[in-house]
Amino acid sequence: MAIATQLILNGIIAGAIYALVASGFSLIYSVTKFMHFAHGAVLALGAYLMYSFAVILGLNFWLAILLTLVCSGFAGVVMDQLVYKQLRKRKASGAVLLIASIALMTLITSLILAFWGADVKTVPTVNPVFDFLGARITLTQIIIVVVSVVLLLGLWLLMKKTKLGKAMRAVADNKDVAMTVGINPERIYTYTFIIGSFLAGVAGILIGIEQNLYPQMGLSLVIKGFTGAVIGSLASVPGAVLGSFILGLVENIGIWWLPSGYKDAIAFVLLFIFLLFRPSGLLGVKVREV
Amino acid sequence: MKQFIALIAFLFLSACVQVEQSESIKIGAVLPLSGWGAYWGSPEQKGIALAVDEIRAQGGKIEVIIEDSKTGAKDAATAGSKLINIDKVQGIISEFAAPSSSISPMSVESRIPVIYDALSKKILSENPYALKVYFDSEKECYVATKYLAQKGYKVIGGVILNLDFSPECKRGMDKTAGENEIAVKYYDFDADTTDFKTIITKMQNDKIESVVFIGYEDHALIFFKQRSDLGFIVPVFTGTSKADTFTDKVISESPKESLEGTITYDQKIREGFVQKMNARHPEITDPDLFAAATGYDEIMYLYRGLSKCSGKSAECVVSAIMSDKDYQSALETEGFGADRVMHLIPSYSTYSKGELIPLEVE
Repeated sequence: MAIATQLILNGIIAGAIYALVASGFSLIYSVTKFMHFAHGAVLALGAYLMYSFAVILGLNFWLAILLTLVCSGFAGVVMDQLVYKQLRKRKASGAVLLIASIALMTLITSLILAFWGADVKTVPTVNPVFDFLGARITLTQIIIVVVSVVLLLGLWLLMKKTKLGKAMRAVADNKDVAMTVGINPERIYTYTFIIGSFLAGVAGILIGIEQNLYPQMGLSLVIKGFTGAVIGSLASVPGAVLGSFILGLVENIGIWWLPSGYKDAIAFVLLFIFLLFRPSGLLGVKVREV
Repeated sequence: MKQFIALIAFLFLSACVQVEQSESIKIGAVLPLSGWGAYWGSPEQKGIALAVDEIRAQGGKIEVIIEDSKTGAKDAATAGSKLINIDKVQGIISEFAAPSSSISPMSVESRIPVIYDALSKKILSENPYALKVYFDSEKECYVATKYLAQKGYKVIGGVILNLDFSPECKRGMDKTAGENEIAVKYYDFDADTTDFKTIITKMQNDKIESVVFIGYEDHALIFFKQRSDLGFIVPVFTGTSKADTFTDKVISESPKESLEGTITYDQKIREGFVQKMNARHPEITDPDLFAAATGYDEIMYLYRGLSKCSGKSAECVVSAIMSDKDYQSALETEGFGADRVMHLIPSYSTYSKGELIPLEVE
């Protein structure tokens, strides 16, 4: 086996997983301007819903995926309408919205624990293994990498080439000015949460198949996704995806020489370095104060 | 005057009730009812319930107050504090090293005996009122490494969960390495590890010939799956028991080629207890029986020790438990030794063509 190739592939697969999380997280942040940490809860919910539809209820695999994605998008809308919108009406600050998102994260994790139990779950699939330049990669891992890139392209096209994307960018730039040209910010936020939560559902499905399902999975993944987004740029989906791949590679190459218990430490050291020296991220634009 | 007599009578009766209630032995149980350890805590409750029913059926007075440690030190500490300071328990049972470690200082300060169930012996050296149940990490890792060395494997990898017992396991493996002139390399991981690919890649690079795996069910699920994906099929000997690691879920959900030849061990349970549990809980499985038997024995030993030492010191209770050779435990053991450990007797097996076959291991 080509060890170096396998190591890089391991890093790319990890990075793709983080990118799946970071893309939706970054999209929501770029439009709504607050950190929706409950994005991790939607991801976990997506994974557990997939498990319920495909394993417990025994539905057709593709039908299970479709239902999961619909439910995930719906979950995002419910969160926005019931919690965030009410806080926005009261002119709540970004900090308050952040606290609310952490509270939602905790609530949904507890509900997952209560409903599905604490024991680890797996989604059984047929998962052939392929040789690639002397390394080994499974079909699920290939799909994760391909989907993360496709999602990136899809989101880019959405934001650049569609009317909705232009409206989202307008609201992200200046909500008040966007209103003057007839854009309804609340409607844009709803669409943002639908799309972002749909992406969380995709992430939950793929990660649930690749790894185990456990109630706290959303929290640990959203932290990694957040870290990747900070490295690349919190307000830029391409940046968040790039940062996530960098994180995945640095972690896996790092634990080649260090004990694997240092994996999270490597991630947080990288986070601190970027927060200190490049807080706007690799693809972020530095804004000079005049 | 009548009111005064009624008041005196009421106070007298209340005092009588208090005295009668205080004769009931109160034991606190800090169990992992949620979190990753719930697979152990939930069935253990059934064993505890059986013990309580049997004690009461024989006229004994016992109350067991159960709190959820959520398999974590912080919640265990909160639970332990409540049991000691509010519920005024006379003894505590606790599960897993981290939660038990957080209760141990309270046990020392309050002079309350605690029986804990974990691989690590570290608490015993810090707490004179602690007794330990469960396998011995150092011994089991020594046995596993020695077995593999005797089979001719010269480079053995220790894939070890970073918890209290991991230094003890490494001591056992290093001891075998010294005796058998083999190389042992360690690959530590944390409890929240969900990806073993790079660890496995490192082992392939290091030409590891066999593995001693120390981890729990969720880690085993990922490890066996990913080693199959990466084509790293070398013999594995689990340094943690079947109930923890090589569970029925791991066996049913992992790629079969990855499981072939895996060696694990389990604890023998007395047939009488098995029959009693099956009668109450027909659905109970073998791994759950182990947890139930552990809970049952912990309550029985603690109750018997507290009964012999009513009103006396924690030292008396510990001594009474260690010298209690009349009680026939649900777990097949010889009781507590002078080291305050109830050594379990493992029975080894190997996975072959879909079954676990008994294996003789020295």
